[in-house]
Amino acid sequence: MFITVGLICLAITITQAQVLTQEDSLYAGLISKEQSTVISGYGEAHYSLDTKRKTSEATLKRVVLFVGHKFNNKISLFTEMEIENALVAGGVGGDEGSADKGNISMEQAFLKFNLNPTTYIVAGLFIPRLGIINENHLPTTFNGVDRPFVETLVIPTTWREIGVGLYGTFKNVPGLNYSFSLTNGLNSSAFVNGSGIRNGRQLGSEASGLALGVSGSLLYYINNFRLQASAYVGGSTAVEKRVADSLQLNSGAFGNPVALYEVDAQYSDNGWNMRVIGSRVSIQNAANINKAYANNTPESLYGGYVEAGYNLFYKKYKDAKALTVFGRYEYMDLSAKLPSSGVKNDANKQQYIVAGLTFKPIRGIAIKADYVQRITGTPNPALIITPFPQQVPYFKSDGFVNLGVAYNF
Amino acid sequence: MAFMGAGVLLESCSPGLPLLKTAAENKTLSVPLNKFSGNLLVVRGSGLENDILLVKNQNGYKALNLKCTHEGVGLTATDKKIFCSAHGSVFDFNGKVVKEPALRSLTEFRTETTNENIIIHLI
Repeated sequence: MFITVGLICLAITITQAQVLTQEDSLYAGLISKEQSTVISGYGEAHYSLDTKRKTSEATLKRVVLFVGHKFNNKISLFTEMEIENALVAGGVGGDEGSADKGNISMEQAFLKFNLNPTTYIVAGLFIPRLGIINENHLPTTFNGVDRPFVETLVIPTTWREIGVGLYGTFKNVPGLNYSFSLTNGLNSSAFVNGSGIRNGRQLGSEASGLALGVSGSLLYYINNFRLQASAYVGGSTAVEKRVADSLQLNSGAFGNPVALYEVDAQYSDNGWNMRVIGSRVSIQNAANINKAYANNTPESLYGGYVEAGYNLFYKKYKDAKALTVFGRYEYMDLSAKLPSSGVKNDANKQQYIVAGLTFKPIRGIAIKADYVQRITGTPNPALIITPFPQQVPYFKSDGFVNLGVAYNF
Repeated sequence: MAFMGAGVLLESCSPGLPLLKTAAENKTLSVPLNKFSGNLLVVRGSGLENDILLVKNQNGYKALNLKCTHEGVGLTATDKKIFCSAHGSVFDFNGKVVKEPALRSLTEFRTETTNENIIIHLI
């Protein structure tokens, strides 16, 4: 302790340009035998008004507490615990559940092992690099009150599983990064038509079966562009072979495989921010999954969006403050190709036109407002099982006014 | 000076940023001036958790710790900016945040120049 204090005092004394905190000194590896713990977090509150149904929702969307601990220069712990919708009552709900109110979950909990300054391995519950928002989902870093719909329903953000991952940079090409991960697989019994593979995530919660998932990415920073391509292939049978056989499903590591591909690009310069992404999901044995679970699983789904924004404060404050006006167009078809056992539903053809403002008085704080116009095809009446008058009215074209506040520290 | 004897290995891998491997001695890293040909040099000190980016500017040399101030992931330096591949933070060559989620500037180490070397003081 005294050694630590002494080093900090020495750092303060001789460093004129910047005062080194204890954390900085630990980071620099100067006090390698000491350990340090870091706490940070993020959160967001939303208000949404459905202009057609004349209803609204106000909720503390999520609060996430990050706790990290550095054991030494080679090994660190990263954890993120998330509470959705302010409280948990009556079971499991929210983004990761299906009933009642709220949700509490671990979004990440992994150990990071540094192999060298540019290469590391993670092990535990972590988020593979797939898409833009999955890994970079802090609410102060993207426009719009809600996360982009394509990166919710096609790429099931935030998608974390138990496994190991390798991250690094290519030595001879500055800006080119890679990642590779091996995780547990999906659970096709939980697939829900209209939600892609989202409900099939196992999220580190008693993941079952022998299914595995592998993913990889290439990420390239060049000039003012961030370019990425990533892919995932994994099995989706989350039951043991005996049960899978009885359901006439393939079992094993890559039984009933699901493949996800995406490419994305981001551009940022002189107050302009643009991003574009396209993604496709293929489910090879959807017909067999439907026979086993009757969940109308499609053989393929896809989606993409393009977004442009401009920071009106850029000339005066650069990026230290921002008032960004933005627009986004999203398109997705969540049952683009159906097996013979599938039931068509044009409501899965969806467009979202989003326009809004993001005000950032300081980095780490965002106040957001947007308008979302949702346009879909006609729902297949054969799939509507709730009788009139309990049936919720469906509007093929509906508008939503959204407000939100968010923080990150 | 003791650190003058540090083993030095220069890897100049075009088109990448040049990388200099050296050993830290007496809480300092020594970079021979004749190894610094451009405006940017990545310095890898043995025993250090992260690389250091040495930036030549009008006022001399600036030594930035290539560790993201968000969650501590090692940073990727290019000839344009400094990027965090994990969560998207971006820093300029003054170490200042260009894009969050990082909120704090990069840690900067004091430097001094002798006739033959740039000395990076690690504390």
